[in-house]
Amino acid sequence: MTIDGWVSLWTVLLWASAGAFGLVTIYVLFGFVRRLSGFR
Amino acid sequence: MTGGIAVANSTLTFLALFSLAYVAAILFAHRGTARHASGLTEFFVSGRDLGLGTAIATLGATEIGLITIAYNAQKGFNEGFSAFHIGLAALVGCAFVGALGFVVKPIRRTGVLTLPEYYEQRYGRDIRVFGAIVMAMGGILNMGLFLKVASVFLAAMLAANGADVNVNILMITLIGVSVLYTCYGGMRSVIITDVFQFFLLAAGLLFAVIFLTRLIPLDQAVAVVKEHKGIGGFDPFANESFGLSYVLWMILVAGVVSAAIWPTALSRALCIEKEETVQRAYLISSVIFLSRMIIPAFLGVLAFCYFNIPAIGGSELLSGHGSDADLVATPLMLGHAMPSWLLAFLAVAMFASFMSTQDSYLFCWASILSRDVLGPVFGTVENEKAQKWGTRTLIVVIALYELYWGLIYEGREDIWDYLAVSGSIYFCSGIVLLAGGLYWKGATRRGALWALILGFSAVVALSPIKTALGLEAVSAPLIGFAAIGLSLVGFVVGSLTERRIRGQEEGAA
Repeated sequence: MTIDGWVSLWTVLLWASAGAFGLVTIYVLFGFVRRLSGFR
Repeated sequence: MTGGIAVANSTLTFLALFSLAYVAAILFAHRGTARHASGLTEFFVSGRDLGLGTAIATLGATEIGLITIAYNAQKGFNEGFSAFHIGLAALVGCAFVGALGFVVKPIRRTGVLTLPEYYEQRYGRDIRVFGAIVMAMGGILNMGLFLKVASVFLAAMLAANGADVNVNILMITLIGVSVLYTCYGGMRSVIITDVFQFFLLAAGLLFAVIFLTRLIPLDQAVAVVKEHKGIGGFDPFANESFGLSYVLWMILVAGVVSAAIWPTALSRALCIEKEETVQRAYLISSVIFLSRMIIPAFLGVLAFCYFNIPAIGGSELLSGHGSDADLVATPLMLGHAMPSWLLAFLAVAMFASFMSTQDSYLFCWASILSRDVLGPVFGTVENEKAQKWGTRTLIVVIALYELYWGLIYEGREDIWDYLAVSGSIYFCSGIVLLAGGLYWKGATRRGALWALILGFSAVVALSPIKTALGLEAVSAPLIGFAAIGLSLVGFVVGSLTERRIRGQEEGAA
């Protein structure tokens, strides 16, 4: 694979990982707040 | 000079405020801990009542420690974007575990409280004790550098901002705090704290990335790495420090082993309420396994750029750090580039990430030694009082060892490679005993014993031992694969010969 190919792969992976990490955190936070509020 | 002092004072003020808010949040979270019923299940696996969200948070917080941030940043600084392959390998490995439920699902079904307890169910009591000793030895050696690395990282971060804090005293205080709450509430305390720490460190890491990519855009980072590191900065197969065997080793170590074999992670599967939730938790957590490697490695890449772009003018900061330069580059950049409030927030997030890993590791190894070594030897396996006090005492002993080991170890490998090698002392046989026992009906006690003894050969890959044996030319991944191969051969041959002897004895009878 060329350098440009690797750059594309790592760029996609970087932003995908940051975005997915953020989403998982929001999901966990949402569940936690619901629990604290007494909802199940 | 006055400006520097003002910045430092402002950082310390924010640091004090965020620290107070953090401690208040932890105390608030722990307010209900004491209400929970006592009992061994409560103490060791948090009453086995974890839902999906909590399981993901505790798994994430345990696996993203300050040590994780430090070693991945170091890899990113040294190897450029090609270090990202470790995150990809972790994603593949953990997704494999989540999709198939490899080890995690059947181990949850057994209903054990600790992993060596499964060894007894499957192979016998002596294997439980021996296996627990090997497991704890690998694990405790593995966490030996946590405190030292955390101290260096935080000291550099705050010093770059002009705020001189005696981080060794701070770290000892934090160890003391984590020892106290871990001893107090057992696994439930660890998990409750983990959830808060997960939010904090996720926010800290994401804020840092957003802020720093405004300073050094990705295109510029790519250009700098291309100029200084060439193809090796992007292609892990072309990079001299990696190569095919290293990439395969990472799929195993950073992915499968970290998720399904390493006790601090696997013990979370034992805490989950419903068996069907286990797979989902691991599948979703595979994203965290990706992020925990890639985001800090990216910070390391940005640090490399920060000190190699003359216009930024940070190169002087790094000079004088000698062989520690790759380790301190990222915290120096964070301390130098970030505004006071963000730096203080990040420092508290780093404390949180240090503690979330620290408590889980302390509890994991102490509980294994108490329940699976001292318990069977002194006949106190089901004695709640003895088990709790045994675990608490061992938590203190392991914390003291950690202080000592951080001062004396002088290996030359990257931190991540040290962790992979020290961990392999356990997991080279652990993966064989767990997977072999769960998926092969023919496994026997003798096979397990041989696997444990032969798997211990992985210790050869530790830098000082390698040097003493004149094996510097052999890479750690090759030694690791050889140790797993030896362990597997011992497991199969030992099991088959025991079954054959048993068959002959039964035939003679």
